[in-house]
Amino acid sequence: MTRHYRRGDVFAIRDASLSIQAGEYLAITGPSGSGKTTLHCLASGLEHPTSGRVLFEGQTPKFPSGWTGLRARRIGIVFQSFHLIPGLTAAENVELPMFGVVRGEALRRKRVLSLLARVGLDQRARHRVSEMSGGECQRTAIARALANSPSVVFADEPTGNLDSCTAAGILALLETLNREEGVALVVITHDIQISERAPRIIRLLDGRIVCDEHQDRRP
Amino acid sequence: MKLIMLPIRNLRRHPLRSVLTAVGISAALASLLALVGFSRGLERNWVVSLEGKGTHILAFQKGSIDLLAAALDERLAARLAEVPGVTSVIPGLGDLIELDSGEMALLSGWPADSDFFTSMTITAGQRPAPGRTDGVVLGETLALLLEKRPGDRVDLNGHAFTVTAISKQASALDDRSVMMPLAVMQQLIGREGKVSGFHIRIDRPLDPARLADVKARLSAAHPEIAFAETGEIASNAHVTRLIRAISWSSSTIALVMAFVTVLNTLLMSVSERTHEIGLLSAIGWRPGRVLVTIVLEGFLMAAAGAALGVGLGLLGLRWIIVHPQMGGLIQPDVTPKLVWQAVGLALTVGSLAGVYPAWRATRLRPIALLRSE
Repeated sequence: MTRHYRRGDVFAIRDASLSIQAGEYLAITGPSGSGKTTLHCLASGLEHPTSGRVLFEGQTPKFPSGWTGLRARRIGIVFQSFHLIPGLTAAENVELPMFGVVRGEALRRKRVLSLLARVGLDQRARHRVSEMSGGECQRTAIARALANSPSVVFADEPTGNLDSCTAAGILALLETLNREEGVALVVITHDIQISERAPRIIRLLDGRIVCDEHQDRRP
Repeated sequence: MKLIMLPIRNLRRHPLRSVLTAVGISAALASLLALVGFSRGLERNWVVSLEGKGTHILAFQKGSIDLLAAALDERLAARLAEVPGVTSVIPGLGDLIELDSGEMALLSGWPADSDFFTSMTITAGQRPAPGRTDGVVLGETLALLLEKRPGDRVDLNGHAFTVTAISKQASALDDRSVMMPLAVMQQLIGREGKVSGFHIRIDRPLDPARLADVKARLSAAHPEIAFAETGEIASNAHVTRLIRAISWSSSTIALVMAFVTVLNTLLMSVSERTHEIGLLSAIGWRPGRVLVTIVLEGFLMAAAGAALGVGLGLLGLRWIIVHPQMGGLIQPDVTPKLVWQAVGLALTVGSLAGVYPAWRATRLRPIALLRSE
């Protein structure tokens, strides 16, 4: 697939082709401006390729409606800046993706508490975003990404705003989810140390995939 | 969490802005209630007044906006009485005056021998004796307001009169009036031989066909005069139509301003929350759900404004009632139906104002959220 932006006449992604397997853990890495985020957006249906197509489980979902539905149920996204809604509590933020998917407030609440417990925040459910640390915010964002049991989670620079100690904890959490729950994990990062934790690394340069290597090691 | 909590939280994030927007809606709704209630009250009081007098058809000057200022020849009464079906014609003169105390009062004059005088309900004193030119009857409300009793003096247009009786009248308008013999009033206001209109009674008032027939005959015989049945006079008269038009147009302007206020608030809110809205799309919220939450914000502000507006509107009407210039002269007519209609209008305005910002929000692409990082 290719993604070209008319403004500035830029090829953000050029002739890229890759597949992600169920339960896989891979890192997409490259310098700033190499097209990492565009590739992530194309793969999660946030963006539409100028040419080529993106398939999900063998199907080509309609853009944008089909992809919206997939992001509700099958695709989780973790952002660098967490993007939690400030006026809401941790539990309410985690509950957001469940509207329209999980019927019944009681059922949603039960699932939210279970997810918060999974990321070690069961005691912080009623805390507002402003009352939580960066690490706790990112854990909340991870719980939100897992809200509807997705088959793949895209984590875009998930540790970019965290100190090294907290970052290690967040990565360990994501890797545990990948290992224990079989959720495919795609970490988008410019940090070589983080990317090298993944068994598969895709390197980008100027919008092209310059390397797709499998490493024989697991975290 | 219920979905409704999301717009509530959003509104609470900018409490002053949300409250001010709700106040804008409440002001619009309050003015609608007060103005329309006032205009309806005027019409209702008029109808009650005419029905209380047993008037079936009212004759008044064609094209006249201020019926009280109209000047028809008193002698027309005899010619109107000749029309088949007409059983009686009572000339009447009316005027609004300001009393020395600053209160507004309706001055009414009828022939001393007409049953408007002879059959009115007297609660204290006695009707002015035939031939007496300084005797007046006060409506009960006005008497209470002026603290007058039979035997007291009252100054009207610089002339001193004696209150001979207090009368309980059917309408608030008449209960706030000074009633006197027609000839005395004509002399008092300098309109000798002139009247504001004629109260016509017919032989079979309960028969609509007969009523229409007599009215048609009257119109044919006197094309220079307007004739209206009691039920239609208040709604068709120029003055009430004018007041009604002013009331509704003022209310519409207020509602449009409220609409623009909500629209502006929600556009600002959407603009500030580009990231959040992008996020909702990124986590799988369909555009319809995003639209509903933003429209709900407009609806909630309108609901708060409506609750406040009903209170303010009723307070405004209360102010009109106790105002010295208007007090008691017109009882505003605010029915639960009018309140619900006004609330419905406010909610519709609030919700509609949310549609465009919501639509704009659904056009935001989640990619903008990621690009901004």
